[in-house]
Amino acid sequence: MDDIDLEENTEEQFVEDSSYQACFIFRAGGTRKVGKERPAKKRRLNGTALASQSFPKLSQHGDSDGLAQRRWELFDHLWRSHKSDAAQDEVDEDSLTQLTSFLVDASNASQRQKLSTALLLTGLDIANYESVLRRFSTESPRLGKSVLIDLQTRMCPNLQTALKNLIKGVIVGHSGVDVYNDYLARHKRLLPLNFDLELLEQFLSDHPISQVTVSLSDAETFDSHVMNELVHTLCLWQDRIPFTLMLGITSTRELFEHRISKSCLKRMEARTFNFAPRSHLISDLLSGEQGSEEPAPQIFLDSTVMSVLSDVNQMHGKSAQSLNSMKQYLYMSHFFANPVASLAQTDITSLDGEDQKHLARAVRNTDSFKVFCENLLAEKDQTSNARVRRLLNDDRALLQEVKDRVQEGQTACDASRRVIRSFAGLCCALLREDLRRPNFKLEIEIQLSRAMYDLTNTEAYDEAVGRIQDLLPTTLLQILKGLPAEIGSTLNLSEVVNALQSQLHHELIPNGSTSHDTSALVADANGDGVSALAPPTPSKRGKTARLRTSTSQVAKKGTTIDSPAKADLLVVLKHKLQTSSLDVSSLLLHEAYLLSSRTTRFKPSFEPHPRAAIERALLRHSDYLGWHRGRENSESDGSDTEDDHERSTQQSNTMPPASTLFTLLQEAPTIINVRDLFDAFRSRLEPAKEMNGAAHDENDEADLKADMTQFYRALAELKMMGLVKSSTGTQVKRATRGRNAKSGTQDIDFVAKTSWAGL
Amino acid sequence: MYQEGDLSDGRDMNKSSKMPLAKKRKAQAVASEIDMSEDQDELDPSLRTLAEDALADTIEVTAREDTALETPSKRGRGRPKGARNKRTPTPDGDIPPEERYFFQTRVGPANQQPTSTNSFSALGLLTHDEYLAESRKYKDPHELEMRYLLKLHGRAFPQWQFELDQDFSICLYGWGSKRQLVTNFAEYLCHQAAKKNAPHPKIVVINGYAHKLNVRHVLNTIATALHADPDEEDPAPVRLVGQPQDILDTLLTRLNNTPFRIHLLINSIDHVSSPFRTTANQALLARLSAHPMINTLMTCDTPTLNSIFPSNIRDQYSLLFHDATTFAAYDTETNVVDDVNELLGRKGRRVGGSQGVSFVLKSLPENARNLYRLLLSEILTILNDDETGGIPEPEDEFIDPSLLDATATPRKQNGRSQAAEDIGIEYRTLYQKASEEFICSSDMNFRFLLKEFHDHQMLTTRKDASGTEMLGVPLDRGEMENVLEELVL
Repeated sequence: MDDIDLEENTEEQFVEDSSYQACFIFRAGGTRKVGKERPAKKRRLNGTALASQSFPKLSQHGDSDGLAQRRWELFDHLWRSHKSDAAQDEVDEDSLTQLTSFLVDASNASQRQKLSTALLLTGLDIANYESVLRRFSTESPRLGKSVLIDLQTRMCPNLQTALKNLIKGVIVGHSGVDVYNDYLARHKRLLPLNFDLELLEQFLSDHPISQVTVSLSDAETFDSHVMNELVHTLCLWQDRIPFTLMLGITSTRELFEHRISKSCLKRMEARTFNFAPRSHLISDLLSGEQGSEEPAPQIFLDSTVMSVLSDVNQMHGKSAQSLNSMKQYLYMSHFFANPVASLAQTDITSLDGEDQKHLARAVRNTDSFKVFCENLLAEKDQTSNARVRRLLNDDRALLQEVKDRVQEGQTACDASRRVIRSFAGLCCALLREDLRRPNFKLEIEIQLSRAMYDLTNTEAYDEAVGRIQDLLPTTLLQILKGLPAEIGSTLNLSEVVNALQSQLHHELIPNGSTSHDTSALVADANGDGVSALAPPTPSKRGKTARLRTSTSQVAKKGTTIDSPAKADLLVVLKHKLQTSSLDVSSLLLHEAYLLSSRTTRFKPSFEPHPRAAIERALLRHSDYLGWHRGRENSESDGSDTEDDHERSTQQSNTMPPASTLFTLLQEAPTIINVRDLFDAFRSRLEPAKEMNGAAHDENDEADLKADMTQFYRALAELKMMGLVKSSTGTQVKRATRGRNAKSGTQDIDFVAKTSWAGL
Repeated sequence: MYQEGDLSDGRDMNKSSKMPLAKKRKAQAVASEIDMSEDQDELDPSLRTLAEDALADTIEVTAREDTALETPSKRGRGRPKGARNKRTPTPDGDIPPEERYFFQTRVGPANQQPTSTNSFSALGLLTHDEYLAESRKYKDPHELEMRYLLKLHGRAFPQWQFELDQDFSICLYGWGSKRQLVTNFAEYLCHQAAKKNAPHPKIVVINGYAHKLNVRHVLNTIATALHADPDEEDPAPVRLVGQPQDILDTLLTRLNNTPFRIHLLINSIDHVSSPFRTTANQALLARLSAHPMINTLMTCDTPTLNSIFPSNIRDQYSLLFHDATTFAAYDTETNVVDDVNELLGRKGRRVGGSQGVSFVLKSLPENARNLYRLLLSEILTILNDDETGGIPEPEDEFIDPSLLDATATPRKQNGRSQAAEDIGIEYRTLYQKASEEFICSSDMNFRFLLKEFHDHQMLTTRKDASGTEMLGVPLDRGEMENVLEELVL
């Protein structure tokens, strides 16, 4: 950390002039030029402000610039390839198509009496509506020359402001801010009011805009009066300006209709579009490092990380953007200060000798390397011992071994994760729980990832096996055939499906029809698929009835027919899961490519607990202030006497004034007499004074003022924190049992505490 | 005279109820005999004692019944008076978790006694000067450790810079002033730029605790930084016009064309006087921070910081939170004496009392002084009217002044001084009077003068129950009279 040279005596340099300014441009003390007589000479600057970035050097700055730069480049490359921008903007494509068509029809319609309104049911996730808007704006070429303007509640406190923002949004969205300002200035004489829609009408007459779509993203939070007026105004102007309305609704259409007036409803020609929240949001986000299209993913998320992400999503309703940010932060944390992270994808042969030395030293300090060596030594043979010795002494040999092991580990991880992901997909198809539990797939993935040694020793596997045994063979066949090709190929299900299909074919249709006909009829018999909705043709009707009868007979027979096929399926699944079981944490140098919450505490960075932090600082100040002295003592050469140590310990135990006062408040009731509080506070200061050798005299005026100063400061700080507040008359009356009002002889001061200590 | 059946009433709860029934009946019979005959010597002594007890019981029961007949329900239902104070106090320890909340948020002390009536003001409250003098003398015993803590936080500067470069915003929280830490970080950024021979970074520092802070000022300062040369010492201020939203739109457009990042370092964004506590301003700042050329680092002090960052705002910021407990005193962020006075329900002498007001008035133009004179005289008139409303003046020859002194308790006297600060004059009335005296010619001019007073904290405004705007002066009566005297003379 030689980059940060924080000299202790420099900290007062800026206090004198800037601390009471509201807002100012900071000038560094070192570059401040006092009394300069001529302008400074222009320096030659290195490019632009966006200078090339790098990580700090690790190992007490023993790393070379090259290693830090390598880590930075690897992070940059991996994050660019793994970030899931597409997942953030994923919306229901069918609904989007319908919405676009609706708006196209609305723009083409002539002589409209009502305002075309699209009601978008987007759920509680605000980001979902934003995703719809982003996707909609990319679809805008299909809508011709249309402009989309999004108005939010804060932009529409009244009708005039709403119209002004609407006009501005359209013109700025089409031509930019400068054009808007020029346009206003040009028309100021004739149209002095910037909320006059005639401004927009004239603008549209000069520019080829076919449609103005007004989006109210949080329609339910709008003032109903303003909204009624806005709809009424837009309806009146739609013969001159082609308005369409788009309303984002988080609850239901019925609830929204109850909120607005009937006259407003009559002016709208509304249609509902359901943009339900994405169920597999996290799963999709995590697919960046687990996708099948990626040639060789180098970074994997631990089950603990996935579990935290799942919890955060469920408990706090995080948007896709937030989850993506968390994922990015995980990557950042992994590469920022992890010296072995560069092994995830580094050609070691290109490193020079010094870099190899630093890297080898970092590798030897990892836990997995120690375990690896211990396992080798446990074999107790000469070869293993020699191997360990070579790994400890020879940097090049060590790095070569590590490189091979890392590649093997990454491949094994990738294969295991693919199987887990595919099996989770199969479970979703079999159990159909994902309709009820949106994160069901991710839950299964986490469950399987935790079962490191045997994937079959999980609840998900047991449930899947039970479901397979319970299902009718025809239904099972349909499910298996409906799975994505990736799942089938990963779990080797193609042979099982063929066997099941041929078995069914032979058992159900003994007189022989084509395979194609069979599957179609089976689908019809189960009532699945779109074809079941259409009325059967006369020739087909007979076959369907016959097949239904056969199917019911099969169901009555139980498992006699389908047992071999199901047994095959279970054997295949069990074998695949058992061979894919992998304890990632046991792999050598997994620290290079496995992101774990054990090593990266990222949750507090997104979900802070400020109250806990403040209360901890106030109640246990020695956690922050005490250890420094202990460190000094341990670093000293042992010449410290016992007295020095005792004094330093006692001094560390001296509580800051705010801590003292807060401790007293914790013991007090809600309403506290300030005089009593001060007396108690003062009594707590006595030991510290005695320790410092100061004579304490309660009647000493100077002593009283000094104590009162500390008390004032502590009270003001706690007030700023909101931990104490002024008491109300009712509270005081209750606390004093009315004695204060009755006596009337003294002006008694009370404060009320606002927090309680907790359980 | 009562019969045997009356004596065996179940309401009898004294020691006679413990006797065997046969003996008891016999004793009661003897008692009736005693009552009838005066010859007591013929009875067995033990039986006589019992008989006397039974007689006493009989009399007591009779008395109770008589009372009941005469005053059937005087006490009424519910707990008898004083019973509340007789309850045993809740013990401090071993309280079950479900009861702990109620114990910790109890109104009075644990022993259910009313709080004491000790007066804090009897000690003599601190003035600004006293506080400043004493605080200068104070030496924090943890100074070295706090400095080391600050240095320890400084080790995270490269990490913070990396996070800002990755388009995250940072929020520092925890106990202690983080102003010095933020300044150190700004120094670090400059130091790093100088090391790389890069241009001086553009850093705008915003102090959320400053009373004069407003959003326009912030946006205009950012615009100034945007247009200034990186190494320029005193750039010419840029003034963007319009509503804050318009200014922000203009600013964002210009930010698209700049190659330089601007670092916003915001101290105490959640301070009670910070304009960024409101949702509208927070949305504005979040929109600005979402721009890739803006890096935002802010500090929060209160434990309720989560409430000012709704999820959508947080997404726009891409906020990362770091615990940066420093234990440094909030010297700049708090106005200690005023805050404590406000907490105790006393108005602070914000401008240093009458001397401060006089000092400010000397620097103001003539019409401002006249307006303040008018305001003071009107408030004093109201005060006089109030005081003489029901109580005769001491000069009244029919009233003994000593009687008045006895009736006017210190509490009431203090109440009067409090009332002086609470009294206000209606905005419209003052404007009319000022117009009549040719102090100001228009409402705008009038408001301009009032704003001057308000900026110097010589004027308080509040709305009464009917919603009428009332103007007051944060001085007590004596100080008002002093200032008025100076103004008139």
